[in-house]
Amino acid sequence: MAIIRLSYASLNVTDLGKAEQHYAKVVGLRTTGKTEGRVYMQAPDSQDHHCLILNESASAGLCHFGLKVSAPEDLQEAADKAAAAGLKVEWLKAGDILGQGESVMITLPSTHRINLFHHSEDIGYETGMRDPDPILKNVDGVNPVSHLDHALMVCSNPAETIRFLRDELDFNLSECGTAPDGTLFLGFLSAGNTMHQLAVAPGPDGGLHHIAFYVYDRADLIRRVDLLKHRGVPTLEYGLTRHGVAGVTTTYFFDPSGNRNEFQCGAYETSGASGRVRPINWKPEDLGQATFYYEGSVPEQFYTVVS
Amino acid sequence: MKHWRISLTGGEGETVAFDCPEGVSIHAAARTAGFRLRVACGSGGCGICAAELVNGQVDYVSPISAAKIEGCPARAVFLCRATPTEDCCIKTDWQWAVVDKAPLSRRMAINQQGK
Repeated sequence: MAIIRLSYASLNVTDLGKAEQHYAKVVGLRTTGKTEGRVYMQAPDSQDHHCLILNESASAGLCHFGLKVSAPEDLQEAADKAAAAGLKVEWLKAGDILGQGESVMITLPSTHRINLFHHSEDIGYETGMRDPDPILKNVDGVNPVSHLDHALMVCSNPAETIRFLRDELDFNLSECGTAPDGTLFLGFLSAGNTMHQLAVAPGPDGGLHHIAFYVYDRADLIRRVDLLKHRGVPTLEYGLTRHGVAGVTTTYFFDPSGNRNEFQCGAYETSGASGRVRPINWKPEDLGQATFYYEGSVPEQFYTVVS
Repeated sequence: MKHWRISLTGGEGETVAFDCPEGVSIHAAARTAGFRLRVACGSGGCGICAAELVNGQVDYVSPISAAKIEGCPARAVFLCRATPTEDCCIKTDWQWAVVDKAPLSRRMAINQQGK
């Protein structure tokens, strides 16, 4: 079976209007659809209907992740594997999610839900599909984000969820953290060419640590840090920094409901062939360097703050 | 604009007091008064800024995530978005930090006094 990519994140937000404004103005997504209590948005460089669904809710946090599969038959295979593993499986009809075909919703051991689908309505690139001008209008002095890149979820037993994603859904483990007794406590999982689409870390079950958007280069990222500060967007930890994991340049900030976002660039590529990537391994005592390469230490709030 | 008095007792037992205008978050008023509270997302979503409302009443300038309220005692107050509607006594099990706006100038001033 083949999951191609993390296609979208469905987030719960406590103020839908402010959330849409944040993801449009601060992140740079376009609104592609609206239904009662829901806004669908997409990055400029993706043709699928959405990379983000915002759901009006009393609570912040994750509703579910959307994963795209390469063939319609993959849905039944994933459903069978999840059922065999004792996980909850639910089928959604085409159109239950705007612009999206039939899908299968699986509840992971971590209690996060992933929704596998094959078909998405094609809305084209923001610059258009014919003789496009590569420069977007109204970019506000900063190049647009490219796409939704990855997400980090937290749970009480990361190993269980990492194993299901790796062994049953054919994700590659590109980097991981292991305790001295060999227990996996941190996993970065790749379904395509980039080194992670989903990552799993320790924390309360169902917690969302962040969703990350890909920025083209470091110059854009520096300009984006300036704009975050200028606009008074809440940030935490450091301004511009770098992760040891993936070696990416990064900055974190929050949406108006307290869901953490990341801008990042420079992740390396992995082969994409299932089971053919050998993971980098981090020891617990080296997590400072793994998390913040320049600073070499992790602020306490980095892992404990989740929505 | 009405101002209410906030009395804040921190994790180390020390109590400080400052004014908070109605409609302004306690977090923002504390910052103006020179105290940095333990606030992370600043947007009502992470619950890190939870404290105990010993007495007084607050309202909220924007929503707090219901999932974070559920896990807290009934008298919990989320300082990032809480605004007082009367004088309040608040207790935290964590300690605020003093905002040092100009440490170098302060040090130079102290050196001058010493001469």
